[in-house]
Amino acid sequence: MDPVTLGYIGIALVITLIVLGVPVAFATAFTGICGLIMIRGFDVAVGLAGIIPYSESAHYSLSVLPLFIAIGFLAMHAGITTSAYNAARVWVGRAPGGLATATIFASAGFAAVSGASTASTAVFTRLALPEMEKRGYDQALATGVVAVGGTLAALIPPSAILVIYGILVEESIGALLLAGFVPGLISIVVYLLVITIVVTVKPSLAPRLERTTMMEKIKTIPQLAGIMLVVGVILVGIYFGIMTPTESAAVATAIMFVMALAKKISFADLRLGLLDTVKTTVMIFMVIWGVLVFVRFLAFTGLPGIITDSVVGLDVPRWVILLAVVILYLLMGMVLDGMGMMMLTLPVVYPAIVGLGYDPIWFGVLLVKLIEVGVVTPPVGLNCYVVNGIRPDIPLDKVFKGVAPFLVGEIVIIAIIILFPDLILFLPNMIK
Amino acid sequence: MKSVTGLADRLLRPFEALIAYAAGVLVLVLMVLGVVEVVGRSVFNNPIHGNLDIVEQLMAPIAAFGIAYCQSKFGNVRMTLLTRDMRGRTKWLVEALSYAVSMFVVFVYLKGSYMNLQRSLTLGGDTGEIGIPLWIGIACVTVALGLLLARLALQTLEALRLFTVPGDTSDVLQTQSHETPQEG
Repeated sequence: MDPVTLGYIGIALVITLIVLGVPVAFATAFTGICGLIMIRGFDVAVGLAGIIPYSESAHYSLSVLPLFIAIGFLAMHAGITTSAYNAARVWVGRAPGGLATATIFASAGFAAVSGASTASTAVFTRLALPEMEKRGYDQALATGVVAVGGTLAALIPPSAILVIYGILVEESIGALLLAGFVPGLISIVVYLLVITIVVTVKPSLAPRLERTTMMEKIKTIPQLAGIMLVVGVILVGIYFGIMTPTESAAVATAIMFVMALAKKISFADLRLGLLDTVKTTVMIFMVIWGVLVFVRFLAFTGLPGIITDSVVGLDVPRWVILLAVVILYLLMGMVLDGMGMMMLTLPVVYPAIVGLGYDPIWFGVLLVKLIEVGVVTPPVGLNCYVVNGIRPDIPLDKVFKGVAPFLVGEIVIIAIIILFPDLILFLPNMIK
Repeated sequence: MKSVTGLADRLLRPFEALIAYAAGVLVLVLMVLGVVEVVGRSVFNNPIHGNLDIVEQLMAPIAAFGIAYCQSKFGNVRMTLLTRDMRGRTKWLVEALSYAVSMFVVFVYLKGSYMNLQRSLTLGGDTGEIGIPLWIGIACVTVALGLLLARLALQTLEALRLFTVPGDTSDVLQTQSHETPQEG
């Protein structure tokens, strides 16, 4: 069979297997192995695929992943989430939609020590949601804020998903982590604007809190030391080239570890946390292995090159193609898991985007933002499922309803990222 | 049959948890190495000799040791939009197919990894700076893949058993709750 046709069949097979519930890690590897067997024979396929679990794991650049995952877990036990939320509540609780605003700020603080958006949503569903309910907040608004706030973890360093992107496309992980910082800040501002507008239009959604004194506010500052330290270590370490991303992650993990020990973390909690860290780490690695087997197969078919040539050769302005890619990702994000979607599509989409002359670092940030919109849109908005999983009494529809106003904000953020690439690139460009 | 799969599950779980836990401890070792390297280099102008080699070889067990544990906890990313509302025989047939596909993949990984291990044992091969033998890392990956294959074989068997007795309970697979997709 013609290799290119085989490539198209392979893509169709992967999608079918994923829809049938086969894990992404195995659906991609299975297709890749079958394709390699058809093109090069069984022995070559076994040799090519079988070497990947070792050769694609024993990499220095990949060592940043387990550390970033461990930071998030340790941060929870170090009391970072509670202190961030308390501080944010004291500082901005009085503003319109104050507790919702505080949740966004605290999510941003947690994002600075955690790389996974679901973890952040899970934490604040337990921490901030009951507080907002107690103060008479509208349940849809409260759950929407918690779900959307979680997405900040994917942009604000350390971001696990940006690291995975960097590994797959072989771009500087340090540059990617720095590039996520400004869009993370823009996202915070836009979310706060959305809350303010929604609450101003309908004040009954979020009753005002009592005033706090300046002394109360100042007293919360030392509680934020952990977050400041981790942000400082990661950003300053990478920015000034003092540390590699792995080293800065190791130092940040150590800070969180010491703080967790100071909070008298139990041995059982530490053991469970390490197991959770490992579970998430290997889940990511297995997807990486599977996608790399699939990529090897696609390379033999020559399909990525053909698609790139035809996309680059299209007689339309390049922004039209970019817009099509953005819409495609937004649609796919509604039904596909974010990380799986990124890994599946990158082998074909990335060469085309770079071929069109777009910056790979900028595209990584845009892609992650698009993926994070996917985790709050129906029907498979993962963060909304997390809220519903922890609080089954709140229907999923209500969570999605609460997220709706923020989706308008997300479109604004995506437009800013597309129209002003320098905003994303100026930080990483400074370290080049 | 149910008692056999249940027994196999109980036998496998301690091993899976033990080596996953070992990987977790290695993450802490990675953390200590990173801190010592930074302090050694910037304060004492004395970096760890062979740090890169050590980190790279540590990554093999960290990335692989927990794979069977992850599978036993249904931690792999999957899309359940279509399958989550399936019931009875249809559900277990689709599940068995999914596990069989996964088993084939892991069998190929294991065979390839074992061949790689044999090559590294007979031909040698070590890291560039301090000469850590490569076979250690490859052996870690091979053992972890073997354990994952055993877990998947057990899950496939159990799915086939539930296909024949759809209403039965299971110690190995989730029969009631709907799994939500996972993300990293």
